[in-house]
Amino acid sequence: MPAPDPDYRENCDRAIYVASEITQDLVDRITPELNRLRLSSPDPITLYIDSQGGGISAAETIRQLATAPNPDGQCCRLITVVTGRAASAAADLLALGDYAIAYNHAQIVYHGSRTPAGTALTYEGAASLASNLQQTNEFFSVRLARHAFPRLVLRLTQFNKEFNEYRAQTQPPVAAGVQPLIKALAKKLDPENSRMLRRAQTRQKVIGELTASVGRHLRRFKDTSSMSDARFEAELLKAVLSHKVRTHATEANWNLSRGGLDEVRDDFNILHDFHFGTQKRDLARWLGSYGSLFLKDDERAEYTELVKQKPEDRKAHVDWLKPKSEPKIQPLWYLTVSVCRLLQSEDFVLSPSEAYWLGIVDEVPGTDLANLRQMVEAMKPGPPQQPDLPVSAAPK
Amino acid sequence: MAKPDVTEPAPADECRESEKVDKVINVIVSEFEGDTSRFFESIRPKEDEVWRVKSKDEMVAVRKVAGAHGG
Repeated sequence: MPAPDPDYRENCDRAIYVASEITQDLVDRITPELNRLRLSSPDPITLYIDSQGGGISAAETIRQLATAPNPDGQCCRLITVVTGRAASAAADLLALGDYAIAYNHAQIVYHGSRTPAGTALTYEGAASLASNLQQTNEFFSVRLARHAFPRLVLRLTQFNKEFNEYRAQTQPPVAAGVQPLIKALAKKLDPENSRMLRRAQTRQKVIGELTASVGRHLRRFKDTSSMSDARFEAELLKAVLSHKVRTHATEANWNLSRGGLDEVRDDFNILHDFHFGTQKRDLARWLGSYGSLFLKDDERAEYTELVKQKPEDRKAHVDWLKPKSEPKIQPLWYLTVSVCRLLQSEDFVLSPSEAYWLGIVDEVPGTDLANLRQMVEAMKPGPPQQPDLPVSAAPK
Repeated sequence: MAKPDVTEPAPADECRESEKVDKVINVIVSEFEGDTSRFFESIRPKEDEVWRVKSKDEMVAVRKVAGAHGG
């Protein structure tokens, strides 16, 4: 018999309402109550959201304040609930909750950072503004992806057939291996929104082809680790250039001076980002938490035995998982980052179930979508069932 | 593809994981062959029932009332 777990449940007795534009005024209004809740108990704080968005720094202040440590170093969990609409900065605030809930009728709207231009812009001013916006988008994309990935893994493991095939691969080719999972996920989205997955899919395909091609080029060198960074990147670039020239060999009109060089640059950036970008540093954490889900049948038995023998030795677990699971986690992590980059750069209106399948929220109450709360509560047995319970039957 | 090893840890406060989630993952892996759906099916109440909170430590499966929704 499960027991309710307050870490995964909204609680209107310890709640704050973000029901207007997110501005510094709103922060000023809710700060006293947030502090009272935070300092009176380390229990979770629920943030109810119905907002068109507003300032990203004001939204960030609310999130950081709600989760700031008390004098004893304890932090409250943040449970976010969209009750109507969460757009722009409010959508980010929703997704960044430790547990995020979307009411069944809610609407979640994403778009990239926007800034009023103010005065007439010069070329230099516009370039600097564009660069700042791109950096802001990138920061928020990777952060959103860090919250979406654990949810997305639990979604993908629900696609039994596709996920079993994926983890059964010995060395999943980056492109081909992920396609069935992306297709299964795309079926859960409105056709208009599934374009983000098609775009991410194309990116994965490019990465797969480039990785194979560049890998062949790099095998000529005995030891790439002794190369300087500049030399290594130069070899990457040479390999990408050769790959592009080969790919377009039959196209009479393709050449570097008419757009080809831009393609080479884009492909170099995609490849470098996938293998060496900032998101790579998160892989170790995902490996420790979710690596075991990606093991093949025989590996799983061996891993279970290892955990039994060394239950506390996390490092031993991660070291064992790394060669087996990392090649399968990385494409999915990169897919998540790609999807979050698109969410932060274009307009997408998501229904609660779409937000669920994309890892933006954990739970949509009133639906049959499997959620983490029910799984955690099933692991937390309550008192034994009494024979004279009023209306009940034992669970399956 | 070798060369740079970019494995410095990501900021710890950006995604707080919990031992409870670790437990769930361990059960999915060790008892349900990594299949989340099967685990979820195993904890659902019967089709005509939903879980209700009885007290802060206890939930019970109760029959669905017409028009009401259950998780």
